[in-house]
This record gives sequence, structure tokens and C-alpha cells, in this order.
Amino acid sequence: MTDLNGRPFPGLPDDRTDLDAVRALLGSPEPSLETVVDGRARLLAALARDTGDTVGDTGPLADAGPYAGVGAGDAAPAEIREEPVPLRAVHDHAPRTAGRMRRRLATAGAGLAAAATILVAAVVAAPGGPVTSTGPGAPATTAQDPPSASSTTSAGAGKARAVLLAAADAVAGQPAGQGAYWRTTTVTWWQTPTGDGAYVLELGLSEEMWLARRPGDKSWRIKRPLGAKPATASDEAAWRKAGSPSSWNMGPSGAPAADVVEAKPGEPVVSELRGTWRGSGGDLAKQSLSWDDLAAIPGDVDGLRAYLTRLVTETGAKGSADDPEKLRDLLGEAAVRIAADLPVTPRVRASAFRLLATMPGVRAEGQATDRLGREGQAIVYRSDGRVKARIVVDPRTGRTLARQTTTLDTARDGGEIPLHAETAYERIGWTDQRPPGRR
Amino acid sequence: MRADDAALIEESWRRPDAFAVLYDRYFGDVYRYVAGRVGTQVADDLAAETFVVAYGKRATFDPGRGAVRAWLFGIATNLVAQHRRSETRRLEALRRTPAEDGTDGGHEDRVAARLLAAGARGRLAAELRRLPDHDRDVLLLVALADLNYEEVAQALDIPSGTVGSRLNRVRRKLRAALGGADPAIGATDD
Repeated sequence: MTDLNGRPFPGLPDDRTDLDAVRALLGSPEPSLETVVDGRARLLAALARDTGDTVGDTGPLADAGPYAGVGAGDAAPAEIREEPVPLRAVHDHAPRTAGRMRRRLATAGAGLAAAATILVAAVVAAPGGPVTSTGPGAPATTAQDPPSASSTTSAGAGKARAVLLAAADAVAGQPAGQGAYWRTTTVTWWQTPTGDGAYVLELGLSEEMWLARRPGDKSWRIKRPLGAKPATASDEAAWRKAGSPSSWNMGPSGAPAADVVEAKPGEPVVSELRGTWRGSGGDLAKQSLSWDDLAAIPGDVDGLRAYLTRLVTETGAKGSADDPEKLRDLLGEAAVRIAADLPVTPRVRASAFRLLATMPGVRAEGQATDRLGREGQAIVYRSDGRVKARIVVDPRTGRTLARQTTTLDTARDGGEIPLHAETAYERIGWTDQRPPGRR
Repeated sequence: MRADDAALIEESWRRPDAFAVLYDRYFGDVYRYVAGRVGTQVADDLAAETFVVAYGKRATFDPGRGAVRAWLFGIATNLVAQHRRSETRRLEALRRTPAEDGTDGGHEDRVAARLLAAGARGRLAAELRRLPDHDRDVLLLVALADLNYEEVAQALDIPSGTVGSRLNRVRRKLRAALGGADPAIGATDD
């Protein structure tokens, strides 16, 4: 045998046994699909820095997301470079080509990269649509994700990660923004049994928070009850049977009417935030965070995970440190809060998405619409028997549109009833406006 | 190697996203090489970094000196050099552990690794660890990345005669470690 230039290796037997042994010892593993997607996004971010423009079909999009351009003077450029995301858990699903002992065709890697590109492009451009790959050596098993994809398939997990990483990339490319207030406008609907447990009501509440950035400025909350109605058709039948009441006592049967819910929407109620809310930019894991606390949240994925783990074990439910499942749930909820509505830098927000992408059990449920009619991709991040929680995220903007949960409740007759709840993040960002009627 | 690789670099001065085509072409190659040296965990980062670095210094690419692919492997090798300890740790682990554990590349790699007798594995890993860094670079660019003399010379920016002499020296050591003329190696599927 000769070397690759056609010359014999002088003084050595004409074979590659020793070189093959080296390759056999060290291996040369294929990258996982996520590694390919992630690395490509990193390169595109670098290319985008160079042009300040839209690059490629998977790059940060030109239309800025919800956190961009809200405040005046977005001077600070977003920090785009991210730490690599360790995605060990998905490595087992990584596509591999056959005949690995042989020298590989260079095209095998290209096919894989193309599959990843197509996957992300399809997730962004045609949510829920079938994804096919065409490159030589491209795997047949990972790139398929029909619209009604079973939520438990590894394709569902792979797509969830692709959506979350696309969202992270979109967020990372956005300016940090600033303003006098961090304003969050949310609408929440939730189902709850009436006080006597006869049927289930659905209640609505609109909530606006104006969190003052400057010390001395006051922070405000504006709440508006959106009314209540029977949750489902069978609840409505039970409601009619009960005489079609227009208000309900939500306290236990026979208790004084302290907690009354009206069917009619109420008036907005403005209240100044006091106590621990003073000088706070939001709460996380049941703890209010000062602006300094928020600024100190680590921006890399590993740092963020460590920070949140510490936070939820300190302040979370008792025993969370010893219960991996509980800890994972709390960690997921905290990451979702950061991704959705806390005043953090784009880098931290992007890392929250990337952290979610590393969590075991995340899976995609395809295209979904929130209660405000906005379309996005549903990503389940928690599913532990009693509680299932998912976010609806727009991977093009990195915007979290809504958080939706289903909790199993025990009915009067001992059966289980699923109770749905949704918070739609209607408008999140910095503003220099003033709260209505305040100076 | 593809004829239009250099044209893509040229094009990237006007249209940066042309550079992403090179990523799609060569990321798999670069990744397998880097992962073979420092393991998948570090490779996830280093392989991606290779292309970011390459983009940043694409002015240094000289089409008269060779191909884009070899140039990329040179950059990857420089990044590996900044992670020597990862490589050393990995070789040390391969020297000590039984065939099942050393590689992290999945089923095919484990099958491949079993083709090496356990004793040969240990001796080979120990020999790789003992090699001077610049000898190991030459060897692994040939064994893992399939570069030829000229490409290795371009990647490492050394004369191709030096590549040949280093490779011969290294291969003699390897064959000795593997048991001379009768290395304890099973058949490959070539």
C-alpha cells in the first residue's frame, strides 16, 4: 500500500494497520444534531456581527423581538457569543452513518449539517410541517417530525431543542434595551372548582406591572378581573341546574362569603407596590429580586443552572434538594420565568432557553395558538403525573407567548378532573411611558 | 477538496453568509477529528469555535498554498493545542480503562475498539501520550483526518519533508508498541 500521495511509506510495511489502530482506539464520533445546529448558529452570530444584518435563513431575524426598541437609547450591543450547551442526554439519539471503520466520505458530514439546517429552517418557517433531509448520509430517523408527532418520540425532543435553540439565537441578537419601567402585561385564565365543588369555573385576570428602574420611583400594579364563567359545556349544565348564579362564593361550603367571584368583568384597580416589591425588578422562586440581583444573574448556561439550582433549593419547597424530580421542576419553572418576563439581558434570556434545551423530558407538541390568538410552537418542559406545563414560544423572535398548565385535581366523587390554566405574555419590555394616571 | 471552496472565502468578503457553506461542508470532518483527540464534550465547543476563528482570520487563507479543508484542520489543531490537558487526560483514561469505556462515540466505535486487544490498546494509548505534541499532530491529521503529506504540511505550516520524517518516526514507534510485525490488531472491514 502507498500513502495518500501514491508514495510508499519508506521503510515501513505497506499497510495502514497502525493508523487504523490509532483510529480504532480514539474513535471519531459523529456530532449530535444539536451540536451541528448549535455550532452553525454560533458561526451565523459571528457573521451577523460583521454585517449587522440578517444572515442566512437561520440567523437572527431582522424584525426585532419584544425586548427590542421599547426603551430609548438602546446603546449597549447585545452580547451574542454563548457558552456551548452540553447536550449529553440527546447524544444517544445522534445520527450516525454506517461503516464507520472505513474512511468516511466528506459528504456524510455535509449531509448531516444540511439536515440540521433544514430542521431549523423548517421549524422556523413552517412550524409543525414535515421535515425531510436530502443529503447523503443524512439520517432517516431524526429528521422526521410529522405535524401530529407523538409527544414522546425522540423526534419530539429533538425538535423541542431545535425550537429552543432557535429562540435563544433570536433573543441573543437583540439589543438590551432600557427605560424608566420594566412593564409586563399579562392575561391569565385559570379553572377552579366552585366552593361547593359542584362544577368548574374559568376565571380571567389582566395584570400590568410597572417596575420602576430608578430608586425613588414608585412601582405599580394594575389588576383587572375579566369575570368568570363555567369552564366546559358540562360545567355550564351544572351551573344552570344550580340556578345560573352570577357570582360565586369560592370559599368552602358554609364559610362566610369572603372570597366572591363575579361573572361580570371588573374595573381596573391600581395599587402601589410596597414591601419587598420596593426596588425590585421581579420575583423568582418566590423571592423578590433587586435590580442588582437581576444584573448579577450569570449569563452562561452552566452558571445560570448553578445559580437557579441554588436559588430554588434555598427558597423552594422543602426537600427539593433531595428530590431530583422536584428540583428539575423548580429549575424548569425558574428558567421559563427568565425566558418569559424578567428584566434580564438578552444573553441571560438566551441562556434560559438553552438551559431548557438541556433539560431531560422537554418535547415539542407542534404548532399552538395562545388565548390571544398568537401562533407559536408548544414546548412541554414539565410533565410529572399531576402537572403538565408547556410554553408557547415563537422561535423567530424568541418571544415566549404563553405558559399553559394542566393540573389534575381530585373531584368531589374522588375522580380526577384536569384543570387548565394559561398566562399569555401580552407585552413585555422596557418603557419610558408613565403608568396610567401616575406621574 | 472542492474547487469552489476558495471562491466561497472570497465571496464571504462581500456576503459573509457564504462562509456558512464551508461549515455545512466540513463541520462533520472537523468534529470527528477534534472529538477523536479531545473527546466529544470539549469537541462540541472546539469544532464550532474552529469555524468562528477561521472566519475571523480568513484573510490569512492563501489559495496558492493549498485547500480550505487543510487550512481548517490547521486551525482546529491550534485549538486542540490550547486543550492539551483534555487530550492528555483522555489518552491516560484510554490507557487505563477496558475496551468498553474509552471511546464515547457510540456503538460503532466500541465495536472498533474491541478489535484492538486490551493490552495493545493500553500500549498504543501510552505511546500516543508520550509522543511530542508536534509528532502527535502529524500522526492524527493523517490517521483521523485523512490528510496527505502536502495537506498536513499546509495545515501545520511546515515543509512536507518534515511531515514525512516525523510520520515515519512515529509510525515506527507505534508498530513497536503494537508488537512489531505481528500487531495485536483484528481485521478491519476494509
